[in-house]
Amino acid sequence: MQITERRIGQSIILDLTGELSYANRTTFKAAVERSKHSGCRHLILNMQGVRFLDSSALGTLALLAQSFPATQGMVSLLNPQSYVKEIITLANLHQILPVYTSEQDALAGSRLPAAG
Amino acid sequence: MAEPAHRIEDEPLAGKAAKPTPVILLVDDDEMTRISMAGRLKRLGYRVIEAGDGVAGLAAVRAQRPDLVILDWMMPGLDGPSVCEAIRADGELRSSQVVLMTAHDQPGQIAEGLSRGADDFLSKAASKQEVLARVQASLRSSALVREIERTRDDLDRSHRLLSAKQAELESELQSAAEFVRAQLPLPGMPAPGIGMQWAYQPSLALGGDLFQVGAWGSETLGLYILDASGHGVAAALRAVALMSFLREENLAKAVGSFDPGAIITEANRRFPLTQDGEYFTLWVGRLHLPSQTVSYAAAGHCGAFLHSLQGASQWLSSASLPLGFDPTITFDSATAQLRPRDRLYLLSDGIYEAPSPTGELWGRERLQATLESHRNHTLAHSIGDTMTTARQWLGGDIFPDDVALLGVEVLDSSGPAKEKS
Amino acid sequence: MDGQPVMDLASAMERFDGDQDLFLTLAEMFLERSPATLTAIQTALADKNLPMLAKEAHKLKGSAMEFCARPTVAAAGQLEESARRSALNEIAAIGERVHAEVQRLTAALQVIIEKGFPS
Repeated sequence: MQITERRIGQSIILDLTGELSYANRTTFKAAVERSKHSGCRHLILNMQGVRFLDSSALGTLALLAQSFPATQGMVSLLNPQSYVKEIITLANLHQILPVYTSEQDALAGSRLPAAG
Repeated sequence: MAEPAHRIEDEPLAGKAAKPTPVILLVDDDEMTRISMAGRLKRLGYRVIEAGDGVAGLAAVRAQRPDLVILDWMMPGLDGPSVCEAIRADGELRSSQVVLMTAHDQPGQIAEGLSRGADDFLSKAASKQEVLARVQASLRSSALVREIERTRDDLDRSHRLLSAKQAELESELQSAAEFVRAQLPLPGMPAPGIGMQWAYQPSLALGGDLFQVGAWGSETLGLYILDASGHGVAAALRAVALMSFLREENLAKAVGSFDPGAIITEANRRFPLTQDGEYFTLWVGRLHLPSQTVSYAAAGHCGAFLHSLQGASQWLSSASLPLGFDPTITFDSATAQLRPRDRLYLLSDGIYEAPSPTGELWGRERLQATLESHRNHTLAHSIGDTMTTARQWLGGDIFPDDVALLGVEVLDSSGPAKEKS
Repeated sequence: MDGQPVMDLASAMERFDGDQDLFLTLAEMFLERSPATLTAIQTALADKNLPMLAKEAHKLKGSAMEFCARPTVAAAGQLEESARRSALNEIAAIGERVHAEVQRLTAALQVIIEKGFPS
């Protein structure tokens, strides 16, 4: 799993490539923590390059959604693809984590009030 | 009379007080030369055992396991090289350090000595320094070999211990697996007029998928299937914990009703995401026996299929979050009507996510088609054959994820479905 | 040959690391053995028993080596070698030299046993 960080204003986009699974959950969580501590209002996880997602990764994403309280900021997903998109949809993850299809929308989403 | 001169600088054991004195076995049939060499070695600080011939020498090697064996070459009976060969041929003794005594004027002895297994050579004419140097060198080799043998023995012992531990662990795992399996419904009819069959195959000895069918109050049957994320013992432990929550007596206390929506809403509050992000998906159904209506609710679990022979078959699910994803939400129940000979299947995603050798998933469509193809077969046959078909798709017997398949059937008032093999 | 000292006491003591007790023990053993050794050599010469002659000469050589008694060692060594080569014409003469050297050696050892080591 490769993770690159891009800063755009108050938002950070983490471009993820590869698999999000039990095996690399520590790497993923560490990257998220780093971004969190560098101070950002909106963490956007770019899922375009993610080709596999297991139940452990789903749980990690759910934990993220719970740990970014409204005052501090928000987390959202950007552009999950085919199989990964299906899993996210089946798990109804969008109910707790916004899912965007374009980067502009995602960045614009920062200005929206945080999801209740 | 002379005093033994114990000069410290020549003391080979100086600074090694903690180590035991090396033991040297000296084998020589000539009493004078034997006493001379023994005396010189003792003066150097070594313990010396003497033997007067090859046979006695070999026996002494076996009995005493000296750190070093010094053999005279020419001896009646078993000569030095022969003793050497005997030592090398003996499995227990062959790593011994052996020095052959040579005559100072016969260099050809060295080649022969080596070929017959000697480690080193010592001339009877050797000076004190040479004796000391050779003996020290040989004892160093001997100590190294002993160290290697000790390490090897330690390794063997560790290996045996590990294997025993492993066997113990596997036996415990087996017991745990049997305990978990014992939580599954007992074979037979869970209620009058209701048939039941199931198949269960965790991917490891233990799995996180469990299901249950049992009475919840009078006139109703509770059914559920749960899936704890992850694999193995941890998932199984968590699954058993949720199962405990879902017991009839506990639900009466903790939820106050057997309504599936209420049950899941309460479970959603009581079973949050673990700090590792582990969670459950759950489907709960409640079958009211007199009316044969089933009310149901789900948390992220979509494995309930109603195979209706008269009406339309349908998957009984709704878009929902797994337990713990949002502790604040509530879950609602929906209902479905069962008719005689209808079958309700509860199944884990391990069965429809079975991958073919090329990686294609079996899928819910194929699973549904397989279940429906058994319209006229017994429930037992339907369950059994569906598992077989899944394995055929898999191209093997070992599913990558836990597989659970439960079927309940509303029996025809005229009797169970016709037997068909 | 007579000019060479019967034994190199300094080298012998070096060999034994100064252990005078050990030297004396071995000296007494040599004195005890030497009559039998000489007799055995005589018999072997008379019988022309070459294997026995070689064996006794070899044993004598080894014993003499302990004292760094070079003349005795040399003579015994030559006797052993001649016996192995079956040089019948040589063995008698060498045998006599061996006899003489052994006498000299035992005499010298006797002196040390009785009078102690020279300082």
